[in-house]
Amino acid sequence: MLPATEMKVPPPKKNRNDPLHIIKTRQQTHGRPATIAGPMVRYSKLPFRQVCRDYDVDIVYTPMMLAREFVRNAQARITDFSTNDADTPTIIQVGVNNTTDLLRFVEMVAPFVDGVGINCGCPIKEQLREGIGCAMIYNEELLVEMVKAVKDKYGDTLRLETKIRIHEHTAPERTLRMCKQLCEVGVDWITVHGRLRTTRSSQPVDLDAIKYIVDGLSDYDVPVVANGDCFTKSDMERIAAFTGAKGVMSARGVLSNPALFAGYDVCPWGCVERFVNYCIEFGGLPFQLAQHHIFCMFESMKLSKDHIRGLMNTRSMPAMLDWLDEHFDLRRPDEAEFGERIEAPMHEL
Amino acid sequence: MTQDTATLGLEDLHIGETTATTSSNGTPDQAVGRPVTVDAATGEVLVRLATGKQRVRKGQPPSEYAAQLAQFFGEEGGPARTPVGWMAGSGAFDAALEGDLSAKHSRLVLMGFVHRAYYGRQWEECLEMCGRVRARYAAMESEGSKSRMKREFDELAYIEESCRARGQ
Repeated sequence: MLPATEMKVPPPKKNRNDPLHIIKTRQQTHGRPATIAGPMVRYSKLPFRQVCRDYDVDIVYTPMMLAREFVRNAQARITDFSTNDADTPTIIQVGVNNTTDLLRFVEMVAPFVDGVGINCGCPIKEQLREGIGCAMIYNEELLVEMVKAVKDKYGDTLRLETKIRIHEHTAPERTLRMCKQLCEVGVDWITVHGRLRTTRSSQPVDLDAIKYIVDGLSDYDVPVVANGDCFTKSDMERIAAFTGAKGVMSARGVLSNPALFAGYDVCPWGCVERFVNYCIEFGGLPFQLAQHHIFCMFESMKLSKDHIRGLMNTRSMPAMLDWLDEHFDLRRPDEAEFGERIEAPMHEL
Repeated sequence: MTQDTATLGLEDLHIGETTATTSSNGTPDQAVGRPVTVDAATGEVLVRLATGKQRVRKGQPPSEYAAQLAQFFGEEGGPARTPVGWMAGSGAFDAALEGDLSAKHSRLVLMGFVHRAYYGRQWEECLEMCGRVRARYAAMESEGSKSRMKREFDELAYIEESCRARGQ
């Protein structure tokens, strides 16, 4: 191993699958906005990201990683982030509260991802107290300074996004003002979650506010992605048409139905088979997370409470595989129609 | 909003104020931290909570960061890369078995090889893997980690019993 002082850091990923180009051109090339699977704490790991890509998702985010931990702790890196050549385009999302940690984080991850997103939307109180997540939108100067520092250093060799919430409903002036400042310092695109820091997910997303931001940034060559309440393909079309956003992000929607952007209003069985297979092939996903993913898919499929209870009573990956095999025709990759079937193929017991 | 207000500079923002100080049920909002960089060279940050309390988050000296860089790009070779099929063949399993299994994640990765054989209905191979993993865990158990590895032993027992039943 080279001494630390002689370590040559690789440059940002070459031949990246440019997410900005995708967002800007999807309407022309595919007749629809760019489709994006948003970051979800714990759940946007590699197996799930790959399932999303099998169903017309253009860009996929990792879960938020704390820069402070990532740059200091090897175990955090190993636990938080795994990837492979098919894991593209991927945006790695970072929770951070200072420019030094951000620059260090970016230096470490840039060779392996297609872009970096700064989390300015997480409303979890433990992060807010640290000035991370949604707290960033109340610390505009710091956020602008952080974006400027990264773009000054990397320019167009690295794509940098900010995912924000709004400060006020309907016509969020303060949010627009902040977005303009971010554009001025080179942010590549902005994702707007149309909720306040204190808005519960049960309250409808404020599309007027997102449209206000989109319209307000019309003088800048910086696209906006709309986030919130996208659960079907028709939601995606409606949100894009109303707001004028270049891309639509779904988080809770794709969690329960990774195939929603492909036009499936209910999670197809193929998602379950593909997800299980990716979990097995990639390894390293804690059983409880895999179980929760399948639970969410089962809820979308409206399977019976007995099925959901049975699934949640399993205590290990092998036990869950046995339970799935016992109650369903769970096919493997070498079997016909693997990952293709729509209806859950239940065994008659 | 007018264009004039939209183009006001950051200096015009009242950054110390949030737009909502109480939630809809009347209880105080969660505190929003206001980090202030104390030392840009290390990333030492003073987090000021809305309650008035302050917390210092220690920085990372450049030498420590350089060591992390060397470890990440040198020893670790970047993030774990796990393409489909990376577990195929015995080499990867042997390497995982011989590696440092003190971390829970390492044991999770090791058990992934067993899960793959189980998923592929390779009962004999799976049983053989279980035996080798059990022996390795047993050696660790004698080092005093019995209680925290109970889940792994329980899972191995479940797999071994299932494989034996199906392999007959």
